[in-house]
Amino acid sequence: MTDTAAGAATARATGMGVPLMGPTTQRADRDADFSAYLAARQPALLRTAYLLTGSRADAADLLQTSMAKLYLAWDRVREREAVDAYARRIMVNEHNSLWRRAWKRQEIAVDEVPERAAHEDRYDDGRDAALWSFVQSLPRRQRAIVVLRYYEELSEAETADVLRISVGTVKSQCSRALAALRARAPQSLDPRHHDGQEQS
Amino acid sequence: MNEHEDDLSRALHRKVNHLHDSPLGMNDVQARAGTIQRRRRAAIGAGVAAALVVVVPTAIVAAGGLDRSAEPLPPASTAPSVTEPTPVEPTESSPTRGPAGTVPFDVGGLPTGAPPAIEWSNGRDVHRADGSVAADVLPGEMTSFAPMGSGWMVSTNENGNGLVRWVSDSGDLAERVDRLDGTLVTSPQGEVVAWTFTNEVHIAQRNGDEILAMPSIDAPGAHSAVAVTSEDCTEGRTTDAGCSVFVNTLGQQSQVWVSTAHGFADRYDEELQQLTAWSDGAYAGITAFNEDLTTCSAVRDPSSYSTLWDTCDHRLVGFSPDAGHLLGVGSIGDGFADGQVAILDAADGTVMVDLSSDEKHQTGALQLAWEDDEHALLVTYVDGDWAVVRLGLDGSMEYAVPPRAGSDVERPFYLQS
Repeated sequence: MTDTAAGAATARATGMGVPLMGPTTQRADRDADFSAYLAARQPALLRTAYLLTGSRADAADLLQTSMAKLYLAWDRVREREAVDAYARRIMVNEHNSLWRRAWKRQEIAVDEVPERAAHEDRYDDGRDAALWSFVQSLPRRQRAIVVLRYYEELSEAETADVLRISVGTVKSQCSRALAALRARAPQSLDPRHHDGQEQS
Repeated sequence: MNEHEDDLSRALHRKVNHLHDSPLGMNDVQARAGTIQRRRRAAIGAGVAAALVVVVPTAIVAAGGLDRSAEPLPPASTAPSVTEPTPVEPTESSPTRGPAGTVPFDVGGLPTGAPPAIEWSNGRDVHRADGSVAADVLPGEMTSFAPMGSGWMVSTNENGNGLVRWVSDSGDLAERVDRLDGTLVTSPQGEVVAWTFTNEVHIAQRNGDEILAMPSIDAPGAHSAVAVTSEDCTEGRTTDAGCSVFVNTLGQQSQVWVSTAHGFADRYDEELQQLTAWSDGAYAGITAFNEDLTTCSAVRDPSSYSTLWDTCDHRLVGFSPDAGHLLGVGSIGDGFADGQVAILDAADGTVMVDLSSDEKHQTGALQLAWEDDEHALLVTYVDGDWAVVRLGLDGSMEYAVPPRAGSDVERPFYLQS
């Protein structure tokens, strides 16, 4: 992210690296800055949230809370290049948070929000559904590791940094997930077993 | 990537490739941010109440004021026999943070010492300070309990409603049930238990036989009782009878009120937004909720309403029974548990012990209590293990109740209020 035009203009006018702004201007600039980030990155973050939660309604709710926390911390996010990593960290922590899980557990009387019609993928021959079912069965933290590694395609070190865990933990959790995947349904989930034909 | 990894990656991408929308606008984000800020403030207030009530217990034990046993209760000072405590090594030091420096909040593999010298419960049974157990006496959904007479005042959450009632040591429930917000707080010797419901202030005393309404708080929003000053709230019964109950308002306005047995309720120390710890000679509270969600606190002199010292590093949540030290938690209150626990010198704010969760040790403290002048008890949770940990003024730690595996939402340990 870059400075907003207003902020940059003020900085130039003062001849200083740090803009001199009143509180109202600062807040307006901050909101504009955040709004630009929200518009640019929201669809991608929603997709990650969906993979973490497994439903669009929960994903939207998780995204709203995570973006609210990011907004509250916006002034402390010094390196704009690192915002995505910070946002992912908030989202994963929020999804794993004890409060949220307790709160969700208490949500009994509320009517279920109807899910949108399941997305039909013409490439899905059943293996995708099986893989998705497998991902949904993983414990939250392990699932977050899998999502960051195999959807976000972060490196082991980047995943470890987002989750504030060791690289060794990322490796071992991924390894266990893949072992479980192989053991769970060796036929339907085996990439060599496609359309009923073994690939050489 | 191997084939399995490739396949998994492709499946995940295909699962969400159709999602391109942006359900949120700035208004949605700002509205949720406002909710989070209000919830955090309320959590701080509720945490304050939970922490404050624990300052008392040793005084109860030492005074033997509650005749629950024919056997004399052991003096509090003998109970926390710290067996081979684990010293904590500072990872960094700062001259402004006292001798200990900040150390990881690591409660793994500690030695096990004496059981708590105050009463604790798993939610049903009460483990008394003398080692005896009153089995299956507390009602379900218990949120806090305080010894009173031959039983306990117990607060519960039943279908979202806070209730409080007296329970006998055989588990019989008193017929009278009152509503409450927040948790129970107790007087220094434990003879009076107080709570609030909406703007009403109530106390129970004389072994639970008297439940009285104190003057109501004339301020909107939710409230939470945080301290009771003395052992008899009935004005005129003795020459020095009459108590005061301190109450925090938790709504749009953060204020401290005091409801007195002299027939009035009024604002108390307008410099404070929340009272967080009280003793005879000093009190502590939050003076500022900052934009970045941190807080600043001060220890104040009740005779002059002047600040003795202040800090923006910790919230100050309970004086030791001798008022020599203060328990502190992190400056930011984030709801479920405190990842930072400190002991400060009450005279000048010197940080004696400062434990902080880090990437490796994501420990949270859900309840803090002074066991005696030199030891605090912490109900901790980390990685599926609950424990009651004893923390000394020198930073040494041991289990007062060894770890027990459990879900994060099924708390097995409650310390008495």
